[in-house]
Amino acid sequence: MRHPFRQLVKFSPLYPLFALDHFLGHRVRHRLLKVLDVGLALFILLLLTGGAISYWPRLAVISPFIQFVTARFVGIIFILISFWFMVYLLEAYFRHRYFASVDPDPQAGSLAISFDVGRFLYKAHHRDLVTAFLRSGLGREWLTRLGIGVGPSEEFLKQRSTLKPAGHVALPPVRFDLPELVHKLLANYPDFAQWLTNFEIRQMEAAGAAAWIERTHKSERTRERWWTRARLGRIPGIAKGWAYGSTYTLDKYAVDLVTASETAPGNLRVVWYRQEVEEMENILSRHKEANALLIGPSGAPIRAVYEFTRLIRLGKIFPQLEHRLPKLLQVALLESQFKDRQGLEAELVKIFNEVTRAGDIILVIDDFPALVSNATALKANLPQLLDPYLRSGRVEVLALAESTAYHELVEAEPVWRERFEAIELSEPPQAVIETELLTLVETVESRSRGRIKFTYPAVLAVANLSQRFAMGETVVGESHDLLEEVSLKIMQSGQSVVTKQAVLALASAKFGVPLGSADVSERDKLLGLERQLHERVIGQDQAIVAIAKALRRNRAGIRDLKRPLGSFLFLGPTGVGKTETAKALAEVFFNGESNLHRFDMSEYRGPDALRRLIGSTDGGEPGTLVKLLRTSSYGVVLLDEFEKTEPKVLDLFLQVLDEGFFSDARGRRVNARESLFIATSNAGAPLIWDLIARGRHLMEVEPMIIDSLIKEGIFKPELLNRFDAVIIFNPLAEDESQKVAQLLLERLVNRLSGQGISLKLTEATARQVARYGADKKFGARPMSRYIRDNLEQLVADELLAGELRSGSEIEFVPPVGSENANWTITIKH
Amino acid sequence: MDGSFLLLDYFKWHYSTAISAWWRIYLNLLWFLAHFFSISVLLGTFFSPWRRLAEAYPRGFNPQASAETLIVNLLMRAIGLVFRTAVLLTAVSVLLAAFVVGPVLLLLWLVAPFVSLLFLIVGFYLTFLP
Repeated sequence: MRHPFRQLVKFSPLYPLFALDHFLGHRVRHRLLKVLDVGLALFILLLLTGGAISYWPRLAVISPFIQFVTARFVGIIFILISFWFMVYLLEAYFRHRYFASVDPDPQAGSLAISFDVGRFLYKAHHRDLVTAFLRSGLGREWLTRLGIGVGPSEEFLKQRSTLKPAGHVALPPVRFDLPELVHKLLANYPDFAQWLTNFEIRQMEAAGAAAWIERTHKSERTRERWWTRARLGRIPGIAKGWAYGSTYTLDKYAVDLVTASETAPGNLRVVWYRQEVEEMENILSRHKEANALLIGPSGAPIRAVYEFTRLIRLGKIFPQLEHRLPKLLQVALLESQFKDRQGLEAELVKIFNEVTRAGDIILVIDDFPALVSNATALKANLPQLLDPYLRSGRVEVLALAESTAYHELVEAEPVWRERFEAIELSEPPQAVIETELLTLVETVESRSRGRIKFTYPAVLAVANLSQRFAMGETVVGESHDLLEEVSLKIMQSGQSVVTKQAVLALASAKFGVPLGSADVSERDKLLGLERQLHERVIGQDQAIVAIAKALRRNRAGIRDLKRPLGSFLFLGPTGVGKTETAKALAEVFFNGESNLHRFDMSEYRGPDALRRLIGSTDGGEPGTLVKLLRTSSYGVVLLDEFEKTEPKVLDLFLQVLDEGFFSDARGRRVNARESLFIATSNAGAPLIWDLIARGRHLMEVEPMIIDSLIKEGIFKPELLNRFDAVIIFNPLAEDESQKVAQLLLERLVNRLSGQGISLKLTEATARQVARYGADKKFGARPMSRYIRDNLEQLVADELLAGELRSGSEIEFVPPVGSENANWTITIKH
Repeated sequence: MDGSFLLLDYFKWHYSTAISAWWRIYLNLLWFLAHFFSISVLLGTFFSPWRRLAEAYPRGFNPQASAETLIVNLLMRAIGLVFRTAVLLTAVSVLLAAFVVGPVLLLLWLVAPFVSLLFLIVGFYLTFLP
């Protein structure tokens, strides 16, 4: 040790372990024990064979030789046993000292150095700690977890011009662990920190990967502790069920959670629900009404039950609940069997009677709202049926419910409120999800037998994306699914490292949303968005700039991920480009008008308006908005004539615009966070006209227009506040109308060129189309009709008359004098 | 230098903290055996009917039916008792064995460093000396 930490290492209570691990490493000891096992078995076998041979009369001649050899075998066996003992004792010494140190007492006062850091520093011979670290086994492991290979690291070390000893590195105040070492290295070696930024690794990720490695090492060693009660308690006992009854009917629809929780996906130690699990214990230990209703985001209640089951398995539970057997009744399975009231009621009575008789069952109902809803649909009186059991104190029930479904289907019933104690479960915070994911990664990696390895940024990406996209499920559930999917994909493709890019690519394909850094063409598109939109939309600069900025914010990754991609209310007279802007946006940014989904909100009126959008509880159609967002949420949702819909529908959008999701009729969440909402409205158009006619500028009249909409009760102020921006579209000026005419005529040029006819456009043509086609009240919209009725009709007539054919060149001649005069056409062949 | 320090620390550990750790592990194993054979459950439900299989007594005065039910229920309890006794006897034998093996293992632990040294010497002697 030539670095300044040598004193710290030397005075650590783990110093003998560092020395031992240096002299005979942990893995070497394990291998050595295996070799000694095999050697012992081999020589014992040889000894026995030799003994048997020596009794064979025919081989009496060589008997002295055999005796000589077998005596040596005995000697070798003695030596092997002796070595075996020594290695085993050293291993026991290591394990005991190691586990006594993994959770050091913070009150002890002395500076604690973690085993991994201490071992690294003990072995580090290079004065420059970055070189020592990157060339150590620990450093290599850290690089792998960050997705950086040994090649780039060696290149970096070769290029380093200044090597310096870490003499000035200040010691951390409390614990010197691997993340702390990484922090110190990054703070004291700027070139090292700079090099990491080339791989888009931030300090937080560098330290996070280090903490993960230390945790993995600890859990690897913990797995060897077979003698702890936690490990021994996992072995199921015998004869426990002999005192309890059987549940034949229940078993048709239920799974034993004690067995299932061992193998359940994402069966991790859920520390987040500790308090809720204690509440469950208290409630289920009562003598009467020992029933709890677990309410939370989908997937959360069952995870809390798994944790509760784990405590039962380990015997770390109230004595009244020891040896209890939680069984999960699968409502969907039960429902599928019964289509009539009598059948369902009879089966439920059978199940509850069995549970009462059995004496050791804790009945867990996986989807209580679904059971209630199904019973109601079959006209069964579930509260009356179950109330005697629930109040008897002879059954214990844990009913699980998704929050929204609970509020809609269960909460109103007094029996459920009275017989069940509600326990609310929340979603764990991001940090807990990340920790759980890292633990799950260990399982996935060990299951793949080392074929795949996750990088730390990849795991973080999974956690972040789950937070963003989880809807039908909990964030935890979504993150576990994503992790499993990406590991499967990587294994199928024959690769071995799961990188952040791989996760982003999979999520991008799965959710239909571009993720990751914007590529060059996308960057150009984003930067030139205003220009591209203006190719289709004339004027309306304020609207275009607001939209373009919102989209750039989103793609740069700084938008609020818990709201829709963007939301705008376009106000203004008809025919000024509101809908055209939405279409242009879909084409330019979302790759085609097919990603524009238009809802004519004037159609969503009447008492069933909301039902048609979000579906109904009776299991019919899922609702147009639900269907759309479930199939393709990435795109523009255009809500035309927004003011004409029902107040209830407007209230729905209040939530959509604020939180980026809503719940369908069955209480399942629908993601609206990847959609750009554009609502258009003609409300206030007369006022806009009036104010503009009086020469007022759009910027100054905006507050007046919004005030008038609120005063007239068209939109509530809270709804208007939910939009990213309320944008007033001004009536088209004369020159803008002419540009619109020019655009429409260019489209006609394109259509005709498809038939081989060349149309020559003149400024006079566009001017006259704008003059006669545009309408003060309806804006540019009548212009299309004017072109169709006058110019296209003229072309059609000439085509039918045979005057016009492929290869012809034409030019329109505007009418002279009055509006009613006809257009004429000149043809050149 | 580190080698001698390691050796010294090892022996200090072997004859102090390791013995208390050994005692904790031994208690864990005894707990496991009691848990594995469900001793508390079996003792608590020693006379209970086998898998709670019991018939309800008839209503009203019906001596024959009552007697039949009584016999069936007694039979169920007897079956339960036989099975539980068998498991409990097995558990007691295993626990007794554990009680005997425990001190032997402790003794072995105490002499292990010397035994391994002795085995090494004996081994070398038998292997290399005539």
